[in-house]
Amino acid sequence: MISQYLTAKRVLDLRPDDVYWCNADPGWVTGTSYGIIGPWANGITQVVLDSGFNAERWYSFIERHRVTVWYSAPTAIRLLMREGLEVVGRHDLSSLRHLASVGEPLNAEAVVWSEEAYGLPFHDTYWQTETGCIVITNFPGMRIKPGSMGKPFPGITATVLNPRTFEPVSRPGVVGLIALRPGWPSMIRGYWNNPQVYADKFKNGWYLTGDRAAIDADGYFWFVGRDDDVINTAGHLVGPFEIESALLEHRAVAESAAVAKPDAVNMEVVKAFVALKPGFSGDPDLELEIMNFIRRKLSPLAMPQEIEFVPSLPKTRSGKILRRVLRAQEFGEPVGDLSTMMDD
Amino acid sequence: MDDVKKVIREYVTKEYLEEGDERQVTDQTKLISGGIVDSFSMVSLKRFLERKYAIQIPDAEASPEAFDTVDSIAALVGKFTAARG
Repeated sequence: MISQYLTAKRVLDLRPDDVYWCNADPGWVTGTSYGIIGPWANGITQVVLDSGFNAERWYSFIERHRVTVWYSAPTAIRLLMREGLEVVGRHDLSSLRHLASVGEPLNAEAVVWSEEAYGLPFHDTYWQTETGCIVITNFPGMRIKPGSMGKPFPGITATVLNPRTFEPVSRPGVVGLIALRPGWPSMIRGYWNNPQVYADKFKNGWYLTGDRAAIDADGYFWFVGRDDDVINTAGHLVGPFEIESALLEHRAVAESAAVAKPDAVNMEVVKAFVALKPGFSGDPDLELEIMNFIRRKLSPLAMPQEIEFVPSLPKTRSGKILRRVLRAQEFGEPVGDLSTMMDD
Repeated sequence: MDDVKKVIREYVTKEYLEEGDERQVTDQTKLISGGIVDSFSMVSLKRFLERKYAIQIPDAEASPEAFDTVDSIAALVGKFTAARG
């Protein structure tokens, strides 16, 4: 509770006269930690909307209740982007003072768009169920580098580790395993009936998040991908987040997932699943256009060797893209537990 | 065949040479082994040719050797356009 109280206060910038809206489902850890415990511990007025995604309804809600702080998620933000600016213009959202995002890394395009749409950037926040609170984040008033996770919350020691030695990486820009020094108040104490899996989360005095990132020269963290989601192509590790963020900058793309596809020569290559914006048709010409767009924007290595156009991406009910399902399908493997998957 | 080569030269120049790169792409210029088109980018070139000429080039035939020059690419295109009829 201490961690959630402090981070709700300092990261979400909750103040006594705020009206706070967290649109996370209460069944998700964000919905309990920052949908209940954080704001209630701070004594903040909070509003709840019992509704699925609907841009008109959401904006009306913000307008009617004069919401000042809004904590949302990248999937919802991308859906709002797809709905466009016209619907924003039909509502008075001037009450909004601070916006934050959680659940998945927030694409740079979404940060830029929110500044245009609401006059405010969404601040990306990073944490896990296991960390119990926000641990790496963009703070109110801090310079945001769109696409960056931000910096460690005060009291949290975070680094990226060399995956072979588990020692902190010494040079800026080198990708490693995101790790935290154990001991913050809300840190996980164990996995139910699985002490070995818990023990495996700790190496060389660090808690391993299972994610990869790089730290730049200014101390900002840059998410690359989950360990399981990183694509190993011809010996080079390619993170899906960078590819997906670049895809989102293409005029036709509403949402995307980049996963590994087996390849006889390169072991793995990038395959992208793309959901298109209304008015676009997923034909071979568009596939080629998008492939070349990524190749020029990022690199030939990051260029999807195949693009599959889909009506939607598989997600959990909390909105996180289930890349492991897509990857398993590519490799002909069992897709695993689908109990958290959102119904279409 | 000359038209095909011209299309390929122009596409390679436009898509794979950086702005300011003054190199001339001839029918014999080494594209893959010369570092102009890498093996990952080859897929986009293959897709372009398949769309342009309404052909399917099997992956087994889309080798770095077959894509190394405009001449060899044009020959590949010719083979599959002839097979298509």
